[in-house]
Amino acid sequence: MHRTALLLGGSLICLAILIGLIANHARVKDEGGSDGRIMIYCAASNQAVMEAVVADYLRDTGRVVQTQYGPSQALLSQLAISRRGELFLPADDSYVAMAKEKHLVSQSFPIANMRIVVVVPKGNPKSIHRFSDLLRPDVRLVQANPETAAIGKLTRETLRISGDWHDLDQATTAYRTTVTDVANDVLLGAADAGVIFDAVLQSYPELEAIDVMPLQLATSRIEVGVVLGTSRHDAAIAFVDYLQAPQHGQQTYLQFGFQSLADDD
Amino acid sequence: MTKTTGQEAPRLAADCNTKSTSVGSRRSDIGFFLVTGGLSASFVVLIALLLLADIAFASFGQFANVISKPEILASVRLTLLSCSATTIMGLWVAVPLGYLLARFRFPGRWVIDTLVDIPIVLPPLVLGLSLLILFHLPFGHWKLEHWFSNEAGLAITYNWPAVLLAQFTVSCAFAVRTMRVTFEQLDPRAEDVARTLGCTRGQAFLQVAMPQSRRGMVAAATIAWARALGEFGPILVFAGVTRMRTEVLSTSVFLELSTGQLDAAVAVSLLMVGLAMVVLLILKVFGPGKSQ
Amino acid sequence: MIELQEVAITAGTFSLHNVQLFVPREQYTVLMGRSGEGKTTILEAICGLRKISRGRILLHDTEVTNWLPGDRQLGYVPQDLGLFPNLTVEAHLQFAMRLRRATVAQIRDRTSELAELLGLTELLGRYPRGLSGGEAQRVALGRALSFQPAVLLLDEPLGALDDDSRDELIHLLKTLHRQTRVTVLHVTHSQREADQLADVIVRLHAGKLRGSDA
Repeated sequence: MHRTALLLGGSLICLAILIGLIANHARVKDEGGSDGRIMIYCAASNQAVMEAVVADYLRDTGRVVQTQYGPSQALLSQLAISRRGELFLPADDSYVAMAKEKHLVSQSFPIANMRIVVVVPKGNPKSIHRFSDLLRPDVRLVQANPETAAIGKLTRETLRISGDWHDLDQATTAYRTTVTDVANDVLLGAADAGVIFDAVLQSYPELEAIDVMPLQLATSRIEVGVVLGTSRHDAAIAFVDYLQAPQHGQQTYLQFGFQSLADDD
Repeated sequence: MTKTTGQEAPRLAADCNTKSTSVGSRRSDIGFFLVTGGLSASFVVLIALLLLADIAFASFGQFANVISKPEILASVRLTLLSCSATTIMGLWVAVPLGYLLARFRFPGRWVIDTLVDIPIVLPPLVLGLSLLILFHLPFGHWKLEHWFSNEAGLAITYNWPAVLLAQFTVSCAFAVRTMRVTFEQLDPRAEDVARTLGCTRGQAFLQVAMPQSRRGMVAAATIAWARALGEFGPILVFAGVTRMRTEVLSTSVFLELSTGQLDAAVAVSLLMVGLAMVVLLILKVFGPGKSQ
Repeated sequence: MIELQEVAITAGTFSLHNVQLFVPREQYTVLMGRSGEGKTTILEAICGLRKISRGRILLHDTEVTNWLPGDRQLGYVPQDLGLFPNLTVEAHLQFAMRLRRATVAQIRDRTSELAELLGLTELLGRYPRGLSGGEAQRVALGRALSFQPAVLLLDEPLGALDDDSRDELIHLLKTLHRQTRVTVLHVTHSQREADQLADVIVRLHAGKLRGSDA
């Protein structure tokens, strides 16, 4: 009986200690202005650049920005369900428009642009230069799902206008959830070509981009939306300003291969 | 057919005699071992090949680089803490619940049984989604999430309690299953006698049933810890992946993968495998060795 | 004494109706009947381990029908003994006393007394796994008697033993009964056991009990 009592008591004490440590762990990086801490839902394709901007922001202002990454559609769903967070940055402004329609976002601000490219391993071993090359049977083509990811949606829209969507759809070997999944497949050799945003290429020095008509005409406008009814509106706007500032956010976006807003026609 | 005469019988007997002493009539178990060995080997070899592929992909230099990143170290720390906490919580629920389900027939028992198994069959993302919905479902002006943040000062969603809850929901279900089977295999007779000797049901449980279930508890703890370690979907959706705050190793792999750092992703994966092996080994060593 | 009045028990697909049983005080009563007819079920009902659907159970003129097993103060030795695999023989003998919060001295004295009586002194440190059939039987007996109950229920105690052990145990049971004057209800299908031990024999036949004196 003593052993059992020891086990029961000991486990409770252990549990209390563990939970204490966990609660502390999450608090470790919590410095000044914890009330001003905002959260941004950010598209997976923008993860690398957002990490850099958030780090710079912390260094320059001492303010923490919490980030939550995922495919644009999933982020929208999470926002809809939880109504938490301050900013919503999908990979395509059409999602911001949807968020506005659902009364989740009050205002939006342009940040940068991205273009569509076809990505292949360095050296372009399958000699892909034109759209028709993508349709070849010996080319395993991977795309992001038009229902989940901005790149997929934009690709489908663009190609529907030119009438090529059906062909590309048929030639697509697999659909992936996010644009980075697509890039990973090409990197690992599971696919010969993938359709991604040019900005994503920054993280993949082993891959190269091919501009293919009519896809290269499409532009994805990145906008950040401010969540409707957030109590930290000012803090959110402050971060948006930082994102739009030429010497801060904009400079970083350029470094990461995005097109700046100044390039808008 | 010719009728068998009395003369046939002795010859048959003679045949039997010679048959039993002639060489080549002995059987061997080699067939059994080849078949079972072959089937088992195919699985074991597959796992081994997976690990070897990962090891070949990651370079040692990268590995050392990755694990010394402060985010990864923080992730390891949170992983160890949360998996252990989840396991303890899981056992606290699984042992009594497993006992109840094993010993008592009550109306609606099958409902409880089915409910307990649901986290096991649900796709992890659905589980995460359901948790998210539960905490943010408005009942008029009231939300579970707000109750927690107002009354207890505790933010759940996208915070550390969400990590624990997400892990607990799944790993506890496995632990309950294990404990129920454990208690079902125990002879209830000993507990009956204990009750006639003066034990209440609680005393019989604590003094007779629980001590006998130690091996089962170690098994339940092992499986609970392992499932908590591998939990990804619910954590992603319900707790988010915030570096240094709610990042655990399973979501670290996801993050590295999403930024195209495949080397780092594989390095973290191998780290997880190593960690899992160490903990499983510890549980094996410190669990009761002999069967009671 | 033990009394069952118009007791009905349902156990799965099996049931007993209108059971009337009277076990006299301080006598050695043997309950006989074929296997599967419900002898064990009756014992379980007396212990309180099985609910009865009708009737009353009395122990020493007190109605205990709804009492918990632990409150009925009976010693019970089931057919499969139900020993505690993780406790030593000594711990078995001390189990009931510990529950009743006896003093260390009381426990020590009672344990050595029982061990002496049942020939278990050499085996105190052993676990049930290392005991022979006869030894295990004696441990179960010792455990049941450790708190000096007024009633002792035995379910086929001699069933699995070889002839020598059986004779030893019969002798032991007789001695115990004589020394402690405990009321015994001993269930068996063996006429020989009944002849050797019983003061009173009761027969269970097709769900009904018929009594006769030995």
